[in-house]
Amino acid sequence: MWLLTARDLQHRALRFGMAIFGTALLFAMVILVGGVAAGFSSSATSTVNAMNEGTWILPEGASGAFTSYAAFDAGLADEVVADDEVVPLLIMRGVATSADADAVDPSSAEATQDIVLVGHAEAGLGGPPVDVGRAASGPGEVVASSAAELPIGSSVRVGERDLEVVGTADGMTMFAGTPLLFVDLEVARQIAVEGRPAATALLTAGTVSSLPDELVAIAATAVADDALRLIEDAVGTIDIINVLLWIVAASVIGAVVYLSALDRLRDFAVLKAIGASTRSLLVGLAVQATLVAVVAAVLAIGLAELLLPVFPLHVAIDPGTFIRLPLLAVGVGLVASLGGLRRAVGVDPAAAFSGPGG
Amino acid sequence: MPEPTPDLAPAPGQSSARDLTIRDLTVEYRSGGYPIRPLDGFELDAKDGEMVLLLGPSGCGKTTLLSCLGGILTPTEGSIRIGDTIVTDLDAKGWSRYRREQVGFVFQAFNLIPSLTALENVAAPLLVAGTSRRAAMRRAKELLEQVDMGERLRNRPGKLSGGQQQRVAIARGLAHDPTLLLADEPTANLDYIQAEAVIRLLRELARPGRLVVIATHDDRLVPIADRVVELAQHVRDDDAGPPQTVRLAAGEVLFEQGSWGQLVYMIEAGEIEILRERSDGPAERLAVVGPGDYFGELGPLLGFPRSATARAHTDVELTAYGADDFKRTIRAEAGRVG
Repeated sequence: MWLLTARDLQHRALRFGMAIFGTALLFAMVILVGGVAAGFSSSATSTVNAMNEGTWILPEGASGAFTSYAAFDAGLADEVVADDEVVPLLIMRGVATSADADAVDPSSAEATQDIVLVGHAEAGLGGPPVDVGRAASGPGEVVASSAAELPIGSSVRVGERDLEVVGTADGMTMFAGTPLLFVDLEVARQIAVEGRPAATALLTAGTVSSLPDELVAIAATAVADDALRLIEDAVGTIDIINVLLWIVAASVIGAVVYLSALDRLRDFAVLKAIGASTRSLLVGLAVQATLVAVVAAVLAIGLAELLLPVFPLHVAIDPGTFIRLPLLAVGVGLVASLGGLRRAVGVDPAAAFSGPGG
Repeated sequence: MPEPTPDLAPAPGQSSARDLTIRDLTVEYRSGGYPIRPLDGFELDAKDGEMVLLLGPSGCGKTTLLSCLGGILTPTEGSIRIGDTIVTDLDAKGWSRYRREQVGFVFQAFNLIPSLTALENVAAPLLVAGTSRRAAMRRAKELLEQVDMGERLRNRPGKLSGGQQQRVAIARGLAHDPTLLLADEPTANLDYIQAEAVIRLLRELARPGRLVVIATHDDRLVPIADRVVELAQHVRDDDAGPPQTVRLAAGEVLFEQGSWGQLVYMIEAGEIEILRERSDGPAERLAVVGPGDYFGELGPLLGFPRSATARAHTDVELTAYGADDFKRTIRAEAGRVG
């Protein structure tokens, strides 16, 4: 029966080839879309952890450090009892305008972008891990997330302040790709709270043993989870799209195997008439479905790698996907081919006696 | 080895290990709620090595009989014995083995598998039976050479003419050297030159150790067959005789559904009810016909069995015509009207 299966694949090579390519594209989209959703989550977590893996102290009632910008008196830091230094942080959402875009309309989409501005104590907690350039060391300097695509040496305006980009940090985004810009705490205060000694969060790497009533302490993971809350609908939508892609992929495989079974009903009748068991026919069809699924899955991995650089968002592909996808694909392929298998089982060997078209 | 059942025992002096004996074979199925019996009490004895021709028009039960002989259709009643094998006693597994080991099929329209080469098509029954690939291919090559297809081993069916495909199909039917070769309309799709070659080949294949059964509506094969079985009873008009008067009392049956007849009836007086047997209950009345009406014409004219039963609804007087007389009468009536 292996010969029959192999020959049928050869005979219908174009149809199977198209099915494999189509399914591979769908599987590649499954990988990439899943990677985008995972990227949202991993970006939020890695950004928060890069700023402070320890304890975040927020005003009572604030939902999170990146979702609630309730400023409070930074002097409250003195009332916090912790076994490590406590530093103030000021976070706000805003718009950055590239000063290099003077030649074009500064309000154009190319010149402006949404950002999250982070004011932090120099060389303290809350600052970014600088990958290119250096840390900001003065009131006119900024370290930007590489996602902002602001080259070192360029100028950017936030509020009324012009800042020079002196360094970039990979990742460091929130809310599905919004870049963070890191400035000196005082600069952030001038932009956000007219220079008042305010903070939106306090950070400490240590353990907090006592807090003023107006503040609460939460873990970094809770801060990241809270930030993800804002995009959970988007992530949920992506998950639904992912499921739909699987269904479409299964439909493609199922349709091809079903059509193959329909085309071969007379062949099955002849094979049954000459003594072939139903089981052997089923194995042949199941092998076809499995082959389509596995080859498509392998091709999809290559396609996903090729398409990855095209995506503007961070795509976090779990290496386990490359093992899970072919296994899942086999399952999906077999389930999808059930219709074709049923047709093969139901073929009456007496149909071999019918004439052309009968 | 199973004991032969008494009604299948070969007659004295005719016994051979591979003779075919069919007794009281009936196949019934439902169609539109009505029972159809393409075979009804069919009987046949054929000797090993014979070429048996099953002759008849479409729908007369030829293919049904081949399906029963080939172990792919269970008859409603009756028994088939080929050599020591009582085919009708086999279970599904036994049928598969019987088909793999004892039966070769040559299907109408060739039914070669399009994705396989001629060589692979012929090897398919052997591969299905578990023969090693090398041995199967060797045997397939031998057979294709025997049917003059040695030059086309690697060709797929789409690249072969009808006659070449039929020769490949015959070679496939012979792959496991079957004792019974069943051919369904083997000349149906061939021109006369190709048909002649195929007929000659089939004739040569019928020899001791192998019985060849051919179902066809082509009566040109009759002279070369050892035994001819007409599945549709030919209605010869000279059997009918001149028109005659028939009288029936109410409730008497004139003819029954499934019977063969050569007469068409015109009602002179009284009424006839036309009944059709249902598979799931009592007979259904199709019509009641009266004086001036005629009935029962399609069976004799088309060579079909009666499709309904005719029973006297009242005392009735009929005139019975042969088919030719009936046609003349109808034309004369039409001429008068015109």
